[in-house]
Amino acid sequence: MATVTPTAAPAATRLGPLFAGREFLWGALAVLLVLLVAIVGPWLAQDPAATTLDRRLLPPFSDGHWLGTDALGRDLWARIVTGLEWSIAVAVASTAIAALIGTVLALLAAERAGPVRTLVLQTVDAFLSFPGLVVAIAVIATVGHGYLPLVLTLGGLSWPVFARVIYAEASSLMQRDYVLAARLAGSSRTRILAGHVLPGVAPTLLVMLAFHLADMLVAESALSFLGLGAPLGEPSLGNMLAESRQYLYVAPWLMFVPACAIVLVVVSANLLGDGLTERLRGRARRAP
Amino acid sequence: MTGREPLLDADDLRVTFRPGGRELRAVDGVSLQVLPGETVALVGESGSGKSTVALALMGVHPLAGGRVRFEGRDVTAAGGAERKALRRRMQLILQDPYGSLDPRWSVARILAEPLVAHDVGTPEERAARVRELLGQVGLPLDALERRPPQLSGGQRQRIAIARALALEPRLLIADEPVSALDVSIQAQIVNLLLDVQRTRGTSLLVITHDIALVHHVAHRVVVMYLGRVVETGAVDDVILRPQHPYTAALISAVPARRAGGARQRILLPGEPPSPLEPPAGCRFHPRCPIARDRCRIESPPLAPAAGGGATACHFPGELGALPLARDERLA
Amino acid sequence: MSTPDAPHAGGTARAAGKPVPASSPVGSPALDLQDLRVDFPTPLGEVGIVDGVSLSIARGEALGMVGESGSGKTMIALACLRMVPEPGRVAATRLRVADRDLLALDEPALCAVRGADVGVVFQNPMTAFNPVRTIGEQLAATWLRHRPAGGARPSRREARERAIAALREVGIAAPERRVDAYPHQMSGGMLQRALIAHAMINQPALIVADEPTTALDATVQAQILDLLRARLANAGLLLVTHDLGVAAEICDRVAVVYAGRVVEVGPARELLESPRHPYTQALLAAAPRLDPERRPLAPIPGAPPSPADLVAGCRYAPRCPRAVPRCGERPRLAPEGPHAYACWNPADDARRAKP
Repeated sequence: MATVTPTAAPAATRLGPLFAGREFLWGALAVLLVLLVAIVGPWLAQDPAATTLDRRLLPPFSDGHWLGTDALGRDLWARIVTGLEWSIAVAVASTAIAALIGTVLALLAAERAGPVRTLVLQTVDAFLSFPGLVVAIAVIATVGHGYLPLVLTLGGLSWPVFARVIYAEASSLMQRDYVLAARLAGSSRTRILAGHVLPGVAPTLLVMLAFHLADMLVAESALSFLGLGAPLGEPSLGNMLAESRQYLYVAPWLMFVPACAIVLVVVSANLLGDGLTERLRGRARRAP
Repeated sequence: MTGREPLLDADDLRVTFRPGGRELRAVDGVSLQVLPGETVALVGESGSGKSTVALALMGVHPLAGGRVRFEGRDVTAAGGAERKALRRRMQLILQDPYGSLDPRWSVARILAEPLVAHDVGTPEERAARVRELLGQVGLPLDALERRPPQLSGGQRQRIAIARALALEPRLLIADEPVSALDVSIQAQIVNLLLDVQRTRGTSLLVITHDIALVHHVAHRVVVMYLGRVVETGAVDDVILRPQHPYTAALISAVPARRAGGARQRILLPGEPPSPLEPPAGCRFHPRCPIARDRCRIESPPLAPAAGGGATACHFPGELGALPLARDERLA
Repeated sequence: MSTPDAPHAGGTARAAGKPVPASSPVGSPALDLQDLRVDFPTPLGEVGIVDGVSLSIARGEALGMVGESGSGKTMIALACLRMVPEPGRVAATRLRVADRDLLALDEPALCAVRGADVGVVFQNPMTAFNPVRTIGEQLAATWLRHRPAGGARPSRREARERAIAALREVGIAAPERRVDAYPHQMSGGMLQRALIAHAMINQPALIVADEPTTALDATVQAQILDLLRARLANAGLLLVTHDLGVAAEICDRVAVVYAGRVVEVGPARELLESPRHPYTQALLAAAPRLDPERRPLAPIPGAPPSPADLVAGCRYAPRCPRAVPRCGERPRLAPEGPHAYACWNPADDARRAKP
């Protein structure tokens, strides 16, 4: 009897708004470019550890070293791309760990009141009341250097950021009538969490991933700068900065190059996050 | 009441919330029965606890007291598996069709969800059942791949009804099923519910604030005020000869679809008090036009009244007997 | 009582801005609206949300405007305040409230009109007040804002007294205490009373009430409707509602709106007893009522049209059981009497048909 008249945009145009926001476009392009450089760069560049003592502290655009060389005559471009690979690998893995722990605990806590919720929320509050970097320094100083300790420490200390936001969002979703309707239909908790709540928090999660990636990159650089990140000899954006301090007046590009790389990655990720927010908010407006 | 065994028999239901440590008796000793194939209306204003009764019957709110029997079996005492099986044959339709459907899910997925949750049939059988359900609620098959934001309010409520019908319930509880819809669409949904009841023999428990709707759909009516039943009886008895002054006032508040004329209305002073601080004695006495000293002290029990129903009033029928200009209203 | 198309004398004779004597039952109409259009630009071109609506409300008269969601009834009400949201555009051959030509006023002048010449009562009283200021402050502020310039500025004490008096007039008990209450300390019904007091504090010529009782309980709704009617005095009331019964309850006349046009307007009683437009008839047949014999509810087939796909001619024709070929042509409101309807094939006059 009734005919179905679509009242919202048909599915074919759903991808349209994706490219409507310039921020998202540039952010996504820049992040892709950075990832490409980090993954492919080290294969194409020279050996980042090869020292040529007669070609020390060459300025950028020198013959054979377009970004110049450092105090040991190592190619700066090779070191930057290798450092980028390391830094990004740390940022991506620790973001993934933080998001996974944070989201799972947030969903469990949001699902119902009880000891799990209390425990998670108290833990989140406790974690967020400590200065993260200071704790990270202490932990790494105890357990030691290396990729795995670094990633586990950063992820294990920053998950409450995800837990807090996702919990707020998920518990508001749990109050929705369609979640009640699913309970009434006999759906199990896991089905409700996986089918209704997780897809509901996904947009927020996506945005947070972008911003968190930038935060983790900065944290990694800070730790490496202090000598607590990348192992000795392994280039990273942070320890390159640290090494550049001695030559600040003779070879300022040693500082500018890694600093610019950090800024570039952080700005790209934030641009992507902003673009995602804009785009997802636009979609929420269309489908209230 | 007939000799038929009630399908649903709720006895002395109590639901208590504790907001901020204080005790709120949202439902305070409510009993109601629904016979097979019968439509019962549960009427009340906001804060009366009528929706809480629905959620308590469905097991969403834990009972602080009382018992629910369904198909002769005690749901409250039943164990996990039996309880799930019993609850499967009671389904609730929620008020707001904009909130009760996940905007990200397709109609096909929404309708299949109860079948999947109860592990009914193969995927092919479920798909066939979903198409059948869509036909039952009068929607075309091309609605299957749509998502709720692409449907109108009336179409969404049809989907919500179809979802409730998926498991072939014997009792449908509908909480304000049409109050979020436009008048012309309300009639479609009311007719659909009545049609479902007629063709499938489903019992209906309609929860509403709308006396005109009650009059139109129900066989029996239960009137609630501040967590308690104040009057119950056959719908014609209650609407023509209300025994409780609150029921009489509710009926008189229905806008007569005629203007002017010498109409007499019972205007109640004030508003329903907070269920956190219910008045002593009869809970209705601060607003009651015929309250006397006794009403301020003694809470009236629900007792059989003239006309076959029951009412919780010390002076039943007194206000209903006032000239309500009934000929004007009901002629 | 006035008709939608009848010309009004006196509107031009009086100088704009001169206050109308409060006791005078005559005077220019509270609202005089001629051929109102509200257009919204869309990617597909201009869409007429309101299309050629003419209404007039006399002083002391209540007009109910009934329509379903999306009918444009709220847009018409907003146009009476020149508050149609961007990017909507308002056009009319006449849009006058009391003596003021709203089309000729700029934004500052309109601000002086809103709250003074036109009072508004919204659907949800909980969100209509600012939660961090007391009711009394908000009433007093509206009163003070519209005191004539030049005269002695009233004291705060005076404003407070005025707020208390306004609350007393709408039947709020102990207004001396309530005046210092915050919105969250009052119940829904009492807030709606306070909102009515707020709308009436400057004795406006026109009160616009948009679904004023929809958010309230049935027994409270009756109180509020009675209050609105009783306090009307010399003002005109435009009551926007989806419920024909509510409109008929307190209004002298009722206008039925469908897809941005008035399809029928007339004295409330006549409209209910003998609706001539098929849409009005269908609305009445679709709502349950307290009749001893229960007729089955007659739903209106289909759904109201979205503004993007309106048909030429009568906009109700696709859903209308009485549609005739001529419905492809736009029907005008006719006849020019107190009861007018825009239909080429109207239903018989039920009252005349009776033996």
